[in-house]
Amino acid sequence: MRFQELRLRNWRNFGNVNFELTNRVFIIGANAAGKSNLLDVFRFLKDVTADGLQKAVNARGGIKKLRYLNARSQNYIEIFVRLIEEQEGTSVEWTYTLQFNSAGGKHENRDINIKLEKITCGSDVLEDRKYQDGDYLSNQFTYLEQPAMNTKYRALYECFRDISYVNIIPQLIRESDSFIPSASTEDFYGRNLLENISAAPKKSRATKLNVINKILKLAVPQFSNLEYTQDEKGRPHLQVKYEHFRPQGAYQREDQFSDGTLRLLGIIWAILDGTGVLLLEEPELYLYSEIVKQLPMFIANAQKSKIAKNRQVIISSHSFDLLDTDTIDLDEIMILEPGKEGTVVEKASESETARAKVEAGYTPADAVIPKVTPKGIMEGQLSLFDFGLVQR
Amino acid sequence: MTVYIGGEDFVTKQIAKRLIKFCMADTEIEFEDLTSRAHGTRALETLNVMLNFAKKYPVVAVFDSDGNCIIELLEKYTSDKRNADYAAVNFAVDEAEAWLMADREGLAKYFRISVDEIPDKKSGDLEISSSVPYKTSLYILTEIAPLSKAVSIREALAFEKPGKKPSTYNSIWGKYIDEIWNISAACENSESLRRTIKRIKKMLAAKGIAEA
Repeated sequence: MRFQELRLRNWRNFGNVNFELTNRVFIIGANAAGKSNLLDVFRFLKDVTADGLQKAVNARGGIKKLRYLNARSQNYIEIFVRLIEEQEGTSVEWTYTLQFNSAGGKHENRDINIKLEKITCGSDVLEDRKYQDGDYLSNQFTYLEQPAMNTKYRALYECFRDISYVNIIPQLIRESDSFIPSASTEDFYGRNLLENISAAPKKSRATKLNVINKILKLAVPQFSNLEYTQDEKGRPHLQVKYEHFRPQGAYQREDQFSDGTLRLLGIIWAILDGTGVLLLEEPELYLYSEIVKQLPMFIANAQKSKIAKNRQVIISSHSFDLLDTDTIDLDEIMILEPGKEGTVVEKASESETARAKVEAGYTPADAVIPKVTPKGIMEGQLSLFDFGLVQR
Repeated sequence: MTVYIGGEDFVTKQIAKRLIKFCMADTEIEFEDLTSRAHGTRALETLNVMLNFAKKYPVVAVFDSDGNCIIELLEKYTSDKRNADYAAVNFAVDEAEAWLMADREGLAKYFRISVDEIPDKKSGDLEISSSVPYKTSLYILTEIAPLSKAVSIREALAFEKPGKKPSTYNSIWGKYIDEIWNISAACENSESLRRTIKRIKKMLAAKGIAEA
């Protein structure tokens, strides 16, 4: 199942936005435009299924932190998603709508009320409930988070549950003290990457490591024979053969890998491991620009492979290199532009100038990155780092 | 109103912006740089794509001719040499700095030196750069900047390595180009600048943006 449409009202910096999503999505915006906040909608839906609405809101600092600052008379938060489920040549459309607001007081530390929750599958309305006066408890739990209630829409529940967010921090993988087996917690910083690799079935793990090995070999030509091993205490490790002046080379473990190598390894593993929607936060960080340029194609290839068949990947970025390829369609790029009435989301293909640039021969990067570059930098170029060498 | 610019470095791009403002006085203009990722020759290599885009949108680009024949440069970098009607691709003879120096009074005032220290165009010459024995930017660095009474300019334009522009070179030009450079006065000393203004106005008129 994958997301086809997202509508938000009063969500963080988004007052009111509505847009469609492709199977591979690039969310582009300047710093503080709301890229992470947009990805957080999907993480929020995951958290609702895993921990419940109240905890998902509280984990984000409460509704005041979550709600759009300029929310006016209609100050509830609304998330609407339309999804498509494809099975054996047929497709079914699902929708999920959740509106919630502050309860206006404290009820056993649960202070979020559901204003509306609606679930449809095809033309069937499976749930359509509104706030009920008096019964505060039932207003505070989504149907989705309750296994006893969600049997009719378990596919939707599983889609949200299987969303994964990846923002690998290489130091956490390398630092052996940070290895804490934690099957139940989300591991978005890659802390438990080795544990995840360890948990994968042997054959599947070997297949994926083989793919990673080939890519690593391109990025780091001295690397070969990427293998999974365990130390004497049973802790998982990755090792490669590092070729150098000695004929036999030497073996290196992950704690000797560079930041870029670890991040690349973690990102590729994340793409290959799992079938749920994958959220990649600024994958370009730490990576060599030529690798970044090839990531979109790698993702597209993975989506066509048996390993990560049709897996939806949503990527946030402000990297020129990532989009500097003619293998990305403007339909796949969502541009975030902050404004006085919140951040607006524009599909790059709807921008006349972006289309004209691509038609002229520019890459999508040339077409969209200038749109998200802060004007001050575009105008002056030196203003950030000019220490007043010349009196202005 | 967005006007797209191109250039091979900071100075040429700032000049392109100022020329557009000069030709579109009283119009609020936003600029977008089509060559933000390409510098020097690599920016010239994007010329064909830039001209394709210019068929729909206003584009003004400024490059240095660096002593080369402009026709040959156009032949080398674009299949469309006759782009004057829909784009304004311009080459400064020999460098954009020559256009800046062509406003002798303005540059002398900014550098706090006597105008006599700035070379004058010889009678019959079309370009002030003809009066400079070598590249204009180098001449400014070696012969003019050291005379400046403004410490900040002397320091910003002092060589760090022989023959290489100092890393603070660009920082002195922004204010000059934006606020001091008198384009009308400079046109008197540079035929290539005068032609550039004409070409930009013609392009803007052809696109219905400004009067010719």
